[in-house]
Parts: sequence; structure tokens; C-alpha cells
Amino acid sequence: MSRHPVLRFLLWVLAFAGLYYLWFPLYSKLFLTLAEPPLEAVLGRAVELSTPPMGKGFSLLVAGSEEPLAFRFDLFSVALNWIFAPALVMTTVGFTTSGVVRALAAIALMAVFHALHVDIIVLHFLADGYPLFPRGVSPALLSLIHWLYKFADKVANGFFPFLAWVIVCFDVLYQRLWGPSEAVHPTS
Amino acid sequence: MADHRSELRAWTRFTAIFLAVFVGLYALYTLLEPLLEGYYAFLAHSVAAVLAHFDPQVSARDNVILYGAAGTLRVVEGCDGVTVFILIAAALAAYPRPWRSRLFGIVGFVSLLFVVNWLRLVLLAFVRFYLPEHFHWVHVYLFQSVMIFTTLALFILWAGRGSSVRASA
Repeated sequence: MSRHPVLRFLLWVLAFAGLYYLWFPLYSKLFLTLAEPPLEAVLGRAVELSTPPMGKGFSLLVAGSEEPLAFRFDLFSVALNWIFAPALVMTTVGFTTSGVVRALAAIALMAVFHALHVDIIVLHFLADGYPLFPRGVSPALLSLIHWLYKFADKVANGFFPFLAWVIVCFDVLYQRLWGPSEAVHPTS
Repeated sequence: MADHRSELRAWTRFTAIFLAVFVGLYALYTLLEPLLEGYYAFLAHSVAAVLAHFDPQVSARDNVILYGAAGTLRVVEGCDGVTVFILIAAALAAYPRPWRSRLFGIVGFVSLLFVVNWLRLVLLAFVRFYLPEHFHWVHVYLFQSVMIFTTLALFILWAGRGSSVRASA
């Protein structure tokens, strides 16, 4: 593995891009499953989210409604920023046990972020007159949903992996930024 | 114990500044969005001017790059690079360095990202007009990832510079 951090980062990004392509069908199932409980809590009904293997659009089936709702979102593209979170971790920590554990933690965080992103997408559209959307939701909450939708749509790409990295690796970054000099030597 | 407390304090401070600057700049961006039409037009015209050197059929009108009657490329929000400008500005603002150094870093990196984004638009226009069958893949998957990669790589370089300065001190 290269000693230059940017080259190391590039190599990890390429490696995780390959992995992402291979396991996307499984990963999309994972974050869609995680996205279901919050929607069930809001709608008060059982829901089922599904997508074709490479994520070209997804559908929502709500208990009590006959037709699934189709969303024309390319989930493969929406979740593509996944590759950067574990790549940042491995670049920073190196290919060690700690690095692998942190990378898995970053992947778990990204799954949660993507589940929330899907929830926001769905709620944004359901809030616009879907009959099963709960009545009496305050206008402020509706505005927040629409604001979060635009926010995630525009900035999630870089924001999610950066946040996952800072959460999972802050002690390492802390040692590099503020800590004693003996802690700053690269670990890979 | 004291070490953990100071680490937690540093984490809280970093995250609070990062989120405040990020959300603040994003809010400013959404407020100023109607005023960005001029910026989109500038991007479209400058990209068209470069491509017109090689192919006089390329021109621009407002925020649209035109290729004769065969194709168009519209420069809209999302093509402007502003979201990665916001990310690098928030990350550097939260970084523990003197404010003067952070400001220089932000100005320098945002300028660099502006150039990278502009080159991305030149290449996108090229692919749109000459290799249209590859446009979707290049636009949606490749270049979005390239922009994020460049932004995060710049931050890694910045953070690495901090640690090497510390190590040599």
C-alpha cells in the first residue's frame, strides 16, 4: 500500500467501489429494511420497501393499499457515496484489526444514513397529499421534512461519508491534530 | 480520564463548528439560489468558449451549452460545485488551526475545487456532444464521485500537513 495518503485513499476508494458494485443488491436490502420501521411509526401501518437488484427505482407497499407506490430514484447512485466512508477509515487507520472494525462501523453508520435518506424521500412525497399520510401534522414539521429532503438531495454525497468518518475515527484524528507527536506516525 | 474529557471536548467543538458552518452555508446557498443564474450562465459561456475553439458548432445561450441543433447541456443547481465548496469550507473551519490559516485554506481549496468543477463541465459537455451514449454513466456515477474524492483528498492532505508540522516540531 502506498505511503502517500491521497494515493492510498484512491486505492481504497477503487477497492470499495468494486465491493459496492458486487454487494449493492444485499446492501440496498439492508438499508431499505432499516428504513421501514420509521415509516411504519409515522404511517401507523406495516410497510414494505423493495428495489430491483441494481436499484433503478424503488417501491413502497403500505398495508391497506392495493398498489405499491413507485419512486423513480436510482438507489445505486443515491448510496454510491458509501464507498468513501470505509475508504477514509482505511486511509486514516490502515489495514489493521482496528481499521477493519472501524470500517465496519462506518459501513453500519452509512446504512443508517441511507435508511434515513430513503425515509426522507418517501415522507417528502407522501406529505404531498397521500391519503394514508397522517392528518394534523404541523406545518412546521412538514416544512422540516421538505427541507431535509432538499438538504439530503443536494449535500448528502459528501456529508454522509465525512460525518461517518469523523464519528468513527475521531480519536485517531484527535491524536493527529491535537495529540503528542509520537501518535502521528502513519499506521500502514 | 482527563485525556478522554479533552478528546470529547475537542470532538464536540469540531462537530459543532462543522455542522454550524455546513448548515449555515447551505441555508445561505438556498437563500441566494435565485441570484446564481448569472453564475450558471458564466459557467455555460466559459465552457462553450473553450469547446468552440475545437468545434465552432458549440455555443451558449443563458445557462445552456448548445451543439448546433444536435444537443444541449443545461448548467443548473448541482452543476455549480457549491455543495463541495460548502463541505471543504465547513471541514477546514472546524479544523484546529489559526483562523488566518483556515481562511487561506478555504479560499485556496474552494478556488481549486472551482477549477476542478469547471473542468468537469468541459468534459461533461464533450461527452454529452460526442459520446452521448456514455453521458449518464459519466454524469451520475463517475464525476459525482470524482468531485467528492477530490474534496475529501484535499482535506486528507490538509490534515496530513498538520500532523507532519506537529511531528517535526
